Amino acid sequence: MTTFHTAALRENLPHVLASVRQILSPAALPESLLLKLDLIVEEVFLNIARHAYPTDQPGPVAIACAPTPTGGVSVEFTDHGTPFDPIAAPPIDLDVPLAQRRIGGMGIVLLKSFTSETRYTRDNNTNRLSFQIPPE
Amino acid sequence: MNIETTLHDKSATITLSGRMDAAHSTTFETTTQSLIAQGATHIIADLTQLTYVSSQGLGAFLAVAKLCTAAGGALLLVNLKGFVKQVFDITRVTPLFRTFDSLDQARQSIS
Repeated sequence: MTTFHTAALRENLPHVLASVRQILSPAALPESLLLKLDLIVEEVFLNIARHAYPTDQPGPVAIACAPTPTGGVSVEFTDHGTPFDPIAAPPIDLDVPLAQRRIGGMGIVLLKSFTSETRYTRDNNTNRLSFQIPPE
Repeated sequence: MNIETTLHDKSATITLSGRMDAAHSTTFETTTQSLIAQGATHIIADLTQLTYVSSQGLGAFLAVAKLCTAAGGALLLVNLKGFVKQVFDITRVTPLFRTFDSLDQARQSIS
Protein backbone atom coordinates (compact mmCIF):
# COMPACT_ATOMS: atom_id res chain seq x y z
CA MET A 1 0.00 0.00 0.00
CA THR A 2 1.20 3.51 -0.80
CA THR A 3 0.14 6.11 1.78
CA PHE A 4 -0.19 9.89 1.55
CA HIS A 5 -1.41 12.43 4.09
CA THR A 6 -3.48 15.57 3.72
CA ALA A 7 -5.63 17.91 5.83
CA ALA A 8 -9.27 16.85 6.06
CA LEU A 9 -10.54 19.90 4.17
CA ARG A 10 -13.20 19.82 1.47
CA GLU A 11 -11.04 21.94 -0.87
CA ASN A 12 -8.36 19.20 -0.82
CA LEU A 13 -10.66 16.77 -2.66
CA PRO A 14 -9.16 17.38 -6.15
CA HIS A 15 -5.67 16.73 -4.72
CA VAL A 16 -6.87 13.51 -3.06
CA LEU A 17 -8.54 12.20 -6.23
CA ALA A 18 -5.49 13.04 -8.35
CA SER A 19 -3.08 11.44 -5.85
CA VAL A 20 -5.06 8.18 -5.70
CA ARG A 21 -5.14 7.96 -9.50
CA GLN A 22 -1.43 8.73 -9.70
CA ILE A 23 -0.53 5.98 -7.21
CA LEU A 24 -2.61 3.45 -9.14
CA SER A 25 -1.57 4.56 -12.64
CA PRO A 26 1.07 1.79 -13.10
CA ALA A 27 -1.71 -0.80 -12.73
CA ALA A 28 -3.52 0.59 -15.82
CA LEU A 29 -6.95 -0.15 -14.30
CA PRO A 30 -10.05 0.29 -16.48
CA GLU A 31 -11.69 3.73 -16.40
CA SER A 32 -15.02 2.17 -15.35
CA LEU A 33 -13.39 0.88 -12.14
CA LEU A 34 -11.56 4.19 -11.55
CA LEU A 35 -14.86 6.11 -11.78
CA LYS A 36 -16.30 3.92 -9.00
CA LEU A 37 -13.13 4.53 -7.01
CA ASP A 38 -13.39 8.32 -7.55
CA LEU A 39 -16.97 8.25 -6.29
CA ILE A 40 -16.19 6.25 -3.14
CA VAL A 41 -13.02 8.24 -2.34
CA GLU A 42 -15.00 11.50 -2.76
CA GLU A 43 -17.75 10.20 -0.49
CA VAL A 44 -15.45 8.95 2.29
CA PHE A 45 -13.09 11.95 2.18
CA LEU A 46 -15.94 14.49 2.29
CA ASN A 47 -17.51 12.59 5.20
CA ILE A 48 -14.24 12.89 7.12
CA ALA A 49 -13.89 16.57 6.14
CA ARG A 50 -17.44 17.19 7.38
CA HIS A 51 -17.59 15.10 10.55
CA ALA A 52 -14.17 14.16 11.92
CA TYR A 53 -12.73 17.42 13.23
CA PRO A 54 -14.02 20.77 14.55
CA THR A 55 -14.56 23.22 11.67
CA ASP A 56 -11.87 25.60 12.95
CA GLN A 57 -9.35 22.82 13.66
CA PRO A 58 -9.06 20.54 10.62
CA GLY A 59 -6.92 17.49 11.31
CA PRO A 60 -5.01 15.01 9.22
CA VAL A 61 -6.24 12.09 7.16
CA ALA A 62 -4.06 9.31 5.78
CA ILE A 63 -5.09 7.56 2.58
CA ALA A 64 -3.47 4.29 1.53
CA CYS A 65 -4.21 2.46 -1.70
CA ALA A 66 -2.88 -0.36 -3.83
CA PRO A 67 -4.03 -2.51 -6.72
CA THR A 68 -5.13 -6.00 -5.65
CA PRO A 69 -3.71 -9.17 -7.27
CA THR A 70 -7.10 -9.85 -8.87
CA GLY A 71 -7.33 -6.50 -10.69
CA GLY A 72 -9.27 -4.48 -8.12
CA VAL A 73 -8.21 -1.77 -5.68
CA SER A 74 -7.67 -1.81 -1.93
CA VAL A 75 -8.08 1.48 0.00
CA GLU A 76 -7.76 2.51 3.65
CA PHE A 77 -8.67 5.88 5.22
CA THR A 78 -7.32 6.75 8.69
CA ASP A 79 -8.18 9.82 10.79
CA HIS A 80 -8.01 10.78 14.45
CA GLY A 81 -11.29 12.64 14.74
CA THR A 82 -14.75 11.95 16.14
CA PRO A 83 -15.81 8.28 15.92
CA PHE A 84 -17.82 7.89 12.72
CA ASP A 85 -18.85 4.62 11.14
CA PRO A 86 -20.36 5.36 7.72
CA ILE A 87 -21.37 1.72 7.27
CA ALA A 88 -23.64 1.92 10.33
CA ALA A 89 -25.77 4.76 8.91
CA PRO A 90 -29.46 3.74 8.74
CA PRO A 91 -30.68 2.95 5.21
CA ILE A 92 -32.80 5.58 3.48
CA ASP A 93 -36.08 4.73 1.79
CA LEU A 94 -35.33 4.56 -1.95
CA ASP A 95 -38.86 3.68 -3.00
CA VAL A 96 -40.69 6.95 -2.35
CA PRO A 97 -41.86 9.62 -4.80
CA LEU A 98 -39.69 12.65 -5.57
CA ALA A 99 -41.47 14.90 -3.06
CA GLN A 100 -40.54 12.60 -0.16
CA ARG A 101 -37.14 11.60 -1.47
CA ARG A 102 -34.21 12.74 0.71
CA ILE A 103 -31.43 14.71 -1.03
CA GLY A 104 -28.67 13.05 1.01
CA GLY A 105 -27.96 9.55 2.21
CA MET A 106 -27.18 8.01 -1.16
CA GLY A 107 -23.43 7.84 -0.63
CA ILE A 108 -23.83 4.87 1.71
CA VAL A 109 -26.01 3.07 -0.85
CA LEU A 110 -23.24 3.51 -3.44
CA LEU A 111 -20.53 2.54 -0.93
CA LYS A 112 -22.31 -0.74 -0.20
CA SER A 113 -22.87 -1.38 -3.91
CA PHE A 114 -19.37 -0.57 -5.23
CA THR A 115 -17.18 -1.94 -2.40
CA SER A 116 -16.43 -5.28 -0.81
CA GLU A 117 -14.49 -6.26 2.33
CA THR A 118 -15.72 -2.97 3.85
CA ARG A 119 -14.59 -2.65 7.44
CA TYR A 120 -14.65 0.14 10.05
CA THR A 121 -12.63 -0.01 13.25
CA ARG A 122 -12.12 2.47 16.06
CA ASP A 123 -9.12 2.07 18.34
CA ASN A 124 -6.64 4.39 20.06
CA ASN A 125 -8.69 7.43 18.99
CA THR A 126 -8.30 6.37 15.37
CA ASN A 127 -11.01 5.78 12.75
CA ARG A 128 -9.95 3.28 10.14
CA LEU A 129 -12.16 2.53 7.14
CA SER A 130 -10.92 -0.04 4.65
CA PHE A 131 -12.56 -1.44 1.55
CA GLN A 132 -11.91 -2.91 -1.85
CA ILE A 133 -13.31 -2.05 -5.24
CA PRO A 134 -13.52 -5.50 -6.83
CA PRO A 135 -12.52 -6.10 -10.46
CA GLU A 136 -15.36 -6.04 -12.98
CA MET B 1 -17.51 20.44 -15.69
CA ASN B 2 -18.91 22.77 -18.34
CA ILE B 3 -22.47 24.07 -18.26
CA GLU B 4 -24.18 25.72 -21.23
CA THR B 5 -27.73 26.98 -21.10
CA THR B 6 -30.38 28.20 -23.53
CA LEU B 7 -33.79 29.49 -22.50
CA HIS B 8 -36.85 29.28 -24.78
CA ASP B 9 -39.99 30.67 -23.19
CA LYS B 10 -40.82 28.30 -20.30
CA SER B 11 -38.29 25.62 -21.09
CA ALA B 12 -34.53 25.73 -20.73
CA THR B 13 -31.91 23.38 -22.04
CA ILE B 14 -28.83 22.82 -19.94
CA THR B 15 -25.88 20.91 -21.39
CA LEU B 16 -23.67 19.25 -18.79
CA SER B 17 -20.28 17.89 -19.77
CA GLY B 18 -17.45 16.31 -17.80
CA ARG B 19 -17.77 15.51 -14.12
CA MET B 20 -20.60 16.41 -11.73
CA ASP B 21 -18.81 16.20 -8.40
CA ALA B 22 -19.09 18.02 -5.07
CA ALA B 23 -17.62 21.25 -6.45
CA HIS B 24 -19.70 21.37 -9.61
CA SER B 25 -23.03 20.27 -8.18
CA THR B 26 -23.41 23.69 -6.53
CA THR B 27 -22.87 25.40 -9.90
CA PHE B 28 -25.56 23.20 -11.44
CA GLU B 29 -28.02 24.13 -8.69
CA THR B 30 -27.34 27.89 -8.85
CA THR B 31 -27.52 27.90 -12.68
CA THR B 32 -30.87 26.15 -12.54
CA GLN B 33 -32.22 28.47 -9.86
CA SER B 34 -31.34 31.37 -12.16
CA LEU B 35 -33.18 29.76 -15.11
CA ILE B 36 -36.27 29.21 -12.96
CA ALA B 37 -36.08 32.82 -11.75
CA GLN B 38 -36.10 33.85 -15.44
CA GLY B 39 -39.35 31.95 -15.96
CA ALA B 40 -38.30 28.42 -16.89
CA THR B 41 -40.48 25.66 -15.48
CA HIS B 42 -39.21 22.71 -17.52
CA ILE B 43 -35.49 22.13 -17.59
CA ILE B 44 -34.04 19.69 -20.10
CA ALA B 45 -30.62 18.43 -19.00
CA ASP B 46 -28.53 17.02 -21.85
CA LEU B 47 -26.23 14.43 -20.26
CA THR B 48 -24.63 13.20 -23.50
CA GLN B 49 -21.18 14.42 -22.48
CA LEU B 50 -21.49 13.89 -18.71
CA THR B 51 -19.03 11.16 -17.69
CA TYR B 52 -19.22 11.14 -13.87
CA VAL B 53 -21.65 11.89 -11.09
CA SER B 54 -20.93 11.55 -7.36
CA SER B 55 -23.50 11.22 -4.58
CA GLN B 56 -23.33 15.00 -4.11
CA GLY B 57 -24.03 15.45 -7.82
CA LEU B 58 -26.91 13.03 -7.56
CA GLY B 59 -28.30 15.09 -4.69
CA ALA B 60 -28.11 18.17 -6.93
CA PHE B 61 -30.24 16.43 -9.59
CA LEU B 62 -32.87 15.66 -6.94
CA ALA B 63 -32.76 19.21 -5.57
CA VAL B 64 -33.16 20.69 -9.07
CA ALA B 65 -36.02 18.28 -9.84
CA LYS B 66 -37.79 19.40 -6.67
CA LEU B 67 -37.31 23.08 -7.68
CA CYS B 68 -38.76 22.42 -11.14
CA THR B 69 -41.73 20.56 -9.66
CA ALA B 70 -42.36 23.43 -7.25
CA ALA B 71 -42.36 25.79 -10.28
CA GLY B 72 -45.02 23.63 -11.94
CA GLY B 73 -42.66 21.87 -14.35
CA ALA B 74 -40.11 19.06 -14.34
CA LEU B 75 -36.47 18.18 -14.87
CA LEU B 76 -36.11 16.05 -18.00
CA LEU B 77 -33.01 14.00 -18.72
CA VAL B 78 -31.59 13.35 -22.18
CA ASN B 79 -29.10 10.53 -22.85
CA LEU B 80 -28.74 9.09 -19.37
CA LYS B 81 -26.03 6.46 -19.97
CA GLY B 82 -22.79 4.85 -18.84
CA PHE B 83 -21.47 5.45 -15.34
CA VAL B 84 -24.00 8.21 -14.68
CA LYS B 85 -26.89 5.83 -15.44
CA GLN B 86 -25.28 3.17 -13.26
CA VAL B 87 -25.25 5.58 -10.29
CA PHE B 88 -28.86 6.69 -10.97
CA ASP B 89 -30.01 3.06 -11.22
CA ILE B 90 -28.27 1.80 -8.06
CA THR B 91 -29.84 4.57 -5.98
CA ARG B 92 -33.21 4.08 -7.72
CA VAL B 93 -33.30 7.70 -8.81
CA THR B 94 -33.92 6.91 -12.51
CA PRO B 95 -37.69 6.23 -12.11
CA LEU B 96 -38.12 9.71 -10.57
CA PHE B 97 -37.28 11.34 -13.93
CA ARG B 98 -38.65 11.37 -17.45
CA THR B 99 -35.77 10.26 -19.65
CA PHE B 100 -35.34 10.69 -23.40
CA ASP B 101 -32.95 9.53 -26.11
CA SER B 102 -32.76 12.91 -27.84
CA LEU B 103 -33.26 16.61 -27.18
CA ASP B 104 -36.01 16.73 -29.83
CA GLN B 105 -38.00 14.02 -28.04
CA ALA B 106 -37.68 15.86 -24.75
CA ARG B 107 -38.74 19.18 -26.31
CA GLN B 108 -41.73 17.60 -28.09
CA SER B 109 -42.92 16.08 -24.81
CA ILE B 110 -43.47 19.51 -23.30
CA SER B 111 -44.69 21.42 -26.37
